[in-house]
Amino acid sequence: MTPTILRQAAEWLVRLDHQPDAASQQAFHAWLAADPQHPLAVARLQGHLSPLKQAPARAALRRARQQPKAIKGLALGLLIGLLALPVYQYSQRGYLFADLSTASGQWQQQRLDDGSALQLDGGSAVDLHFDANQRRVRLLQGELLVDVAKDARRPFYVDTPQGSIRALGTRFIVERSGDATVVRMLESSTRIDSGTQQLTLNPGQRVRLEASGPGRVEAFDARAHEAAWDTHQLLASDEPLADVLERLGRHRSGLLLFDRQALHGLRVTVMLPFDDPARALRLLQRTLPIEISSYTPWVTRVSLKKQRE
Amino acid sequence: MKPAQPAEAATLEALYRGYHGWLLSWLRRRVDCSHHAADVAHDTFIRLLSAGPYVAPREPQAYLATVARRLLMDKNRRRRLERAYQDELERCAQYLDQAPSPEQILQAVQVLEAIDRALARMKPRIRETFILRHLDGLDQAQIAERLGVSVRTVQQDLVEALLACDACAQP
Repeated sequence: MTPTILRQAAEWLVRLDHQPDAASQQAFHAWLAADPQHPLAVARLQGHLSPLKQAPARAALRRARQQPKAIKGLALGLLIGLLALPVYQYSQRGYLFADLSTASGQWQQQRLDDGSALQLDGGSAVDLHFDANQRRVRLLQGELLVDVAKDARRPFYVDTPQGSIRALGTRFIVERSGDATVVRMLESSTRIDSGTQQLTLNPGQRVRLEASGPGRVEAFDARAHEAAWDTHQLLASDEPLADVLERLGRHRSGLLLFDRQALHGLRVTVMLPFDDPARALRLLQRTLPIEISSYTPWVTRVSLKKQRE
Repeated sequence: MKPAQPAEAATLEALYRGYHGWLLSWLRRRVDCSHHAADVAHDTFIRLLSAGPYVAPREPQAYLATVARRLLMDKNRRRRLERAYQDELERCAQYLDQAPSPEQILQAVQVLEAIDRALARMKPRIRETFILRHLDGLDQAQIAERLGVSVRTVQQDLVEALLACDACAQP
């Protein structure tokens, strides 16, 4: 393995880690295919970081590094850790990590001190800021089901780069999906600020928020969706395949590559097991004109099946 | 009387013959268990053996002490990591549907150790960038904002960090 190839692989991994567009993904596929050493280099580098996918390993490394500087770490913890969460994935920095994409997918439920409950699916992370006037949850990545406890004096917000969802007491799901945020309302209603617009979302309605503002409000089956959440199933009813793949990608380790543009127009209605992403991919492959190729255990690519003339 | 002639150290074999006993007693004063001291002494010479062509040190004792001290630090670091990882696994046992096997734990600790070593060698900004991305889960744009640098710089730092991890990985 030459240093040049390793450096190229590192550059690809870092580039794909930052808002990869279709063009760069395609270029990456071409690079992978150009030399059998290339996928090996990618796998080798990913192997060096593999334990960091699990929260316990991240926490262990953080703790082991902080021990010699215990006082500094403690001060930081006091400054930022405004909220005492009783359970395990509370780090000194105030981030709450759901475990990222282990094969079994880690789900967790968190009850907050105000009585609200957060459920994070695999590969999700939130940042919490509670004070006397407001309760704010920033969804960094992934998907979150919020059950907001009523508190008329302290509105509850979920913030994403595409908008802010305000609730007093209600139940809804927020998901980061690519450059968009999808909000699904289960009970009661919320006010949403997105772009320069405001809207009210009611139970059984979903909306996609982009940087430019909200899209069209659509109906969805709230009860079925919630049941799917409870049983760790991915339920999609007439949704873009790319969105489904993205959700699935959060529940498995390694890179799941697909070209959003090439898959454009493919919509699916499926129920897939989150706990077994490999099987979920096979199920998709059975019903859709797609091809799944694995370069290494870490790199899997989903592409359109080539049309036979 | 002539001052005691320092033992010869022209070859690794000579170094071993002349200084293994000295190293062992040096180590015994620093670790609580004599078996442990013998292990570290042994590992010290193994490390020299696998370090490439042997160059005779000008001050054999200082040289051996440096290598042995580094080994001791590595061992402490590994123990600390191992204990922290076990603790964390226990704390989240209720969320894991299957406890990792001892082999998996050992392997994860080895990889973590390599990352930890790499972190210790990184320049401060690169280390900070790596920690924000991989331990704290910030994305590249957020890191750029936090550190007041461009995303391009964050990416360059992450590439260097990844290559540093590669350099420190177990062969």
